[in-house]
Amino acid sequence: MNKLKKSLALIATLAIASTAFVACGGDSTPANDTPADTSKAADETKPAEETPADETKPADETKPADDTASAENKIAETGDKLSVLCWTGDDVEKMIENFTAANPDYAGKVEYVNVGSKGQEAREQYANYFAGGEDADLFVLEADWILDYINNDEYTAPLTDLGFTTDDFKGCYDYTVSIGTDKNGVLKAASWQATPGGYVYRTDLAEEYLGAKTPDEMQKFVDSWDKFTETAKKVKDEHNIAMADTLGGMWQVWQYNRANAWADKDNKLVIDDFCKTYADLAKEYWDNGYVTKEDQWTDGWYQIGQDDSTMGYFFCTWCLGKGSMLSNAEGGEGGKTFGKYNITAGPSGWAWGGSWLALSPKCDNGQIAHDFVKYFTVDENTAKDYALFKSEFVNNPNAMKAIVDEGSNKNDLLGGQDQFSVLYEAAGNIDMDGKITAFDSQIKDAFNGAITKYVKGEVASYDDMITEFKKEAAKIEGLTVE
Amino acid sequence: MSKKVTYADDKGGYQTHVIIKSALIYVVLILLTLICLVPIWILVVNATRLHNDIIGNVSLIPGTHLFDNIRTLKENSLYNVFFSPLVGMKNSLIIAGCCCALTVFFSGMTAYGLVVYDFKLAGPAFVFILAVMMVPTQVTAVGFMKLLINMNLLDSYIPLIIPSIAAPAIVFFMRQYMLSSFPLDIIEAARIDGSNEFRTFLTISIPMMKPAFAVQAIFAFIQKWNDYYNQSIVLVSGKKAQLTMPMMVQKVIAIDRNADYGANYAAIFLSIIPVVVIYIVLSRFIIGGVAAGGVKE
Amino acid sequence: MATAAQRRIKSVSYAKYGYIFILPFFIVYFIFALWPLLQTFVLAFCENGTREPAFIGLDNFKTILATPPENDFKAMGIHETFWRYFKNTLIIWVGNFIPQIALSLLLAVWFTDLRVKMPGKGFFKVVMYMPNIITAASVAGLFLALFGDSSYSVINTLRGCAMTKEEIAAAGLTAAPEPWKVITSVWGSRVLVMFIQVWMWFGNTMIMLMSGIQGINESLFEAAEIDGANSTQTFWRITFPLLKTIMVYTLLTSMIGGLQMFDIPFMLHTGNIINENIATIAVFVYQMFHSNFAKPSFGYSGAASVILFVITSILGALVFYVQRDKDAIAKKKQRKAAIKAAKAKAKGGGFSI
Repeated sequence: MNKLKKSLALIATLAIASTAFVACGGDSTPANDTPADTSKAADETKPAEETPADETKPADETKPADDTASAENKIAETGDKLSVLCWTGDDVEKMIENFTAANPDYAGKVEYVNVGSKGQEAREQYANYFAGGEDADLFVLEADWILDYINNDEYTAPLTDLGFTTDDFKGCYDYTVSIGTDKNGVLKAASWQATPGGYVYRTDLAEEYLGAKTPDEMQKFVDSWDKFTETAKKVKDEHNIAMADTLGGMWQVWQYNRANAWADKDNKLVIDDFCKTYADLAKEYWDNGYVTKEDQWTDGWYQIGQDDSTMGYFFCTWCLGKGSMLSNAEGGEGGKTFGKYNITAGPSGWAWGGSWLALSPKCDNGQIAHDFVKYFTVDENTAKDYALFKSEFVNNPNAMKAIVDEGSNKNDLLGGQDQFSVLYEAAGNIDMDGKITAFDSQIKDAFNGAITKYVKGEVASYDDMITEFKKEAAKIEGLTVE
Repeated sequence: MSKKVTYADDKGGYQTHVIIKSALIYVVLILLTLICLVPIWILVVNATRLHNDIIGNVSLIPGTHLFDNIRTLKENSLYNVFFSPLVGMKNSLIIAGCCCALTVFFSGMTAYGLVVYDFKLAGPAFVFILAVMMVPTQVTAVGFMKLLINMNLLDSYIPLIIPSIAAPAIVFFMRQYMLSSFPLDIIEAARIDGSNEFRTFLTISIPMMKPAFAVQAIFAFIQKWNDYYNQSIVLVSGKKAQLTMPMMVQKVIAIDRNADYGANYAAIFLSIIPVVVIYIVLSRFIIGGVAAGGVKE
Repeated sequence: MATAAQRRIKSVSYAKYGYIFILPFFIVYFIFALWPLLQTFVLAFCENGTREPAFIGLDNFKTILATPPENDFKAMGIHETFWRYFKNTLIIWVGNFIPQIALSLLLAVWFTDLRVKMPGKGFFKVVMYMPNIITAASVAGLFLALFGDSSYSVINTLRGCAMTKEEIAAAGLTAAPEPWKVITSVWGSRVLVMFIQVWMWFGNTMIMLMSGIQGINESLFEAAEIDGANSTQTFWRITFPLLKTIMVYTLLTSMIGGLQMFDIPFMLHTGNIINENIATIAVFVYQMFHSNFAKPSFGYSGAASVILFVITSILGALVFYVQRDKDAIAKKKQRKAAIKAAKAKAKGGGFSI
C-alpha cells in the first residue's frame, strides 16, 4: 500500500512538473517573433505594393536570386496520391473531376480531403492536421485568414518549389497574386477564381417602378451611391419596397472600397472617414427601410427575393451559379421569381472573398501538384473550360474575355444574361494591394457588431459607436488601438 | 349508519381528489409532451420536404420526399464526400458503446471503492474528484491536443474511448446513489461468507446498483454519441471511413453555399434514428422496471 | 467458523482494496485530463498573442478583474466583455436552473407516486428525455428557424410579418406588423436560452431524481400510504429527506453545467457575431482561445477558466457542505453500528443472508 501511495504521488508530481516545464518552457525562445513579425510584414510589403502593379510582382524585386533555381521542380514525386485539403468540396471536388478527366494518367491519384467544416474551423484544423502524420500536398486558404498561413514557413512552401516562376502567373488577376504573396515577397498561394460582384435586381419590378427595361438602363439608376440612395428613396416612398437586400450585402461592397487598410504599418487600427460615411449611410438605409432588416445566410434572406418586398441583392460571382444564393432567392427552378433577375455593375466595383491554393512543405507529389496548380491557375484553356463547366469566374482575364466575346455563357437564373460580361470589367478593376491585414476577419466583425448596435439605436451616437468598436477591436492581439 | 355514509362520502371525496389530480397531471404532461415533441417533429417533417418548400415555410404535415433527400445526400458530391450514414453510425456506435461500458463500469467501481472501504486517502480522493468536476472543459483542449501529438494518438479512437474510464460526475452520482440506497451490511455479510472483494463487487453490488447503472449508461451513451467537440479535436484528418455521425452532421449543417435544406434535415434525421432506437430499447429501465434495486431486505 | 470470520474482520485490513478500486480512475485521469488541465491552467499566467507563450505572472487576472485605466481600450474591452458574459452566465443559469429543478422534481414525484396510477406513464417518461437526444447544433438551428428575428421565422410568420402587399391590403392594414426580434433583444434571447436549456435538460434531471426516488425503499412509501399520509406529507417526510444525496448531486451537476453552459449561447445567432446578451464565460474562454489562430489569447482564456473554476468550487463546496454534514455523520454512525451488530451476531454464532 505504501508503494501504491508513493506511485500515486509520483504520478501527480510528474504530471505537474512536466506541465510546468512544457507550457512555460518557451522562455528561452521568447515569443517576441510575433509582434515583430507583423510589423516586418507591413514594412516589407508596403514598398512593393506602392510600385504600380505594371506586371512587376513584388517577388521579382525582393527575390531575384531565386529565379534561376525556381524553374525546376524541387519536390520529388514519391507519394501515392495528391491530397488537396479543404473544408468544402464545392470547388475542389469539381476541380479534381475536371483535372483527372483531362489527365487520365492521374485518374485516382488526386484526392480531396475534408478538414474542418467551416473556413474558420479549417483555419485551426490545418495546423493540427499537419502535426499528425497524414499526407498533405495542397490546401485551400480563404482571403480573411490567408496571412496566418502564408506568412508562416512552417505551414506553407513557396510555389517556386514546384518549378513555377512568378512570370507564370502573369496571366492571373494581379490582385490574386499580391494576396498570395507573403511578407517577404515570396509567392505562396495561387487562386483559381476572381470574385467581382454587382447589383442583381428584379427585372419586372425595375420595369414597372422605374421604367428600366435593360441592365444598361437600370445601371443609370444605380451608378453611384448618391444615385442609388435617390432611387432607394423613390421605390420606398412610392412602392414601399427596399432597394438593397441586407446591411451585410451593402457592407461587402463598402468594405471593399475602403481607401486604407484596417491597420497601418505599425499595426495601429485605422479609423478614417470611411467609418463615419458608412455608419451614416447604414443608419439612413436602416431607418428609412431602404434596406431590409433580414440577415445574410438565413431563410429570410432568400424569402425577400420572392415576395416583391425588395428590388435586388448585392451578389458576387459565386452567388450566381446553379443551386447558389441567387437560385435560393428565386425559389429554385420553377420558383416564383425564377429568371426574373438581371445583373448590373451597381454603384461601385467590389469583390467578395476568394480562395487560394497553397503548397504544404510536406508535399510529396511535386509533379502532380505542379500540374494541378498549373491547370487551374495558369493554363488559359483549361481555366476557360472550368469557367463554363462550373459557371465560375476564373482567375484568368484572357479566358474570361474569350468567353465574353464568344457570348457562349447564358445564365438561366438571370433570364439568359451573361453575368461574365458585366463582371469582366469590374474584375479588371479589383485592387486590394495593401488593403489586407492579418486582423481583417476580427476587425470586420468588431466593426459590424458596432454598426448593428448603432443602427438599432443601442448606442446613442456615432462617437459611442466608435468607442464600442475600439474596445472590441482592441481585444485582437497585436493590434494597437488608440 | 351515518358513520357509514360519512365513510362513503370520504371515500368518494378521496376518489374525486385523485381523479382531479390525475386529470391535472395529465393536462400538464400532454402539454409538456407537445413542447418536447413539436420541434423534433418539425425536424422530421422537414426531412421529408424539398429545399424550396422548406425555406420560409413550416409545416406539421410530412411531405413525400424523404427518399429524394436521402438520394441527394448519396449522390450530390457536396454531401457524399463526407456523408455516409452507415459508416458514421458504425463509428459512433463503436465510440459511444465502448465509452458507455467503460464509464459505467469504472465509475461504479471507483464509487464502490470510495464508499465501501475506509482508507486514508478516501476523503482526499473524493474531494479531488469533486474539484475536477468543476473544471471548465472548453479550456483543456490545447493541453489535450499537445498530449495527443506527443503520444502520437491523433486520428485514433483511443483518446476518445479510454478517457471515459475517468468520469468524475458519474463517479459522484454513483457515490451519492450508494450512500442513499446501498446497504453496506450486505458486503460485511458476503465477506463473512468468504466471497472475495471483486466477486462481491461483480456479483452482489453491480446487480444492486442496476438503476444507477442503467440511467448513467443511457446518459453516457447519448452524451458520447453527440460529443462533437472532442471528436473534432481528435479526428483531424477527416477521413470519411473514420468520421462519426455528429461530425458528418456538423459538416452538413456547415455548408452555407449551395446547401440543400431538405438534405440537411434528412442528415439530421438519419443521425438521430440510432440514438432514438437505442434510447427506446434501454428506456424500459427508465420506465420503472428497475424500481428499488437490491435495497429490499 | 464464527471465530474465523471474526478473526478476518479484525485482522484483515480492506483499505488496500479501496486503492485498487479507485486506481484505474486516477491513472486515466492523470494522463488524459489532469496533465492537459494543468497545462491549461499554467497558461493563465502566460502572455497572449503567441502559440508559445512566456510567463508573465498575474497580469491576465489584473486585466480581467481590475477596473481598466482610462483610454486603455484593450483592457476595457477584455474587462467589460468578461463581466458582461459573467452577468449573462448568472442570469441565464438562475433562469434555467430554478424552473428546471422545480419541474423535474415535480415530475419525478408524480411518476414515482404509487397512488397515481396513470396509463401511459412510461410513454411520458420516455418523451420527456427526447430533446436531449438531438445535438446542440441542430437544436440551435431549429430554434433559430422558429424564433428568429427574420420576418419569415415561424413565430413572425404566424404574426403576419411576412404578408405580401396584397394580403396586407386585404387585411385592411397599412403595413405588416414589425417582426419580433427575439434573438437580438436582450431579454428575448436570454429567456429563449433559458427555455432551450430547460427543454433540453429537464428530462435528464427528472430521470436522475427518479432513480434516486426509486432507490428509496418502497416499503417506506407503502407504510406511509397505509398510515394515511397524503402526497404532500409523503413528499416532505419521506421522499425529500431520503433524496438528499441525489439532490446534492443534481444541484451540483446542474450548477456546474449551468456555469459552464456553452453550446446554445455560442450558436444561437445568425451571421458571424456572437450574441453578447447571452454569451457565457465558457464562450469567453472559447473565443479568446480560438478567434485568432496566429495570435491566440491563451492567457485570458486560461485566466477566465481559473476564475470560473474558483467560482464553481466555492459554490460547489457551499452546496455540498450545507447538505453533507449531518448525513455523512449519520451514515458513519450507522455503519459502525452495523459492524458492531454483525460482530455481535457473528459472536452469537452463525450468520447468513
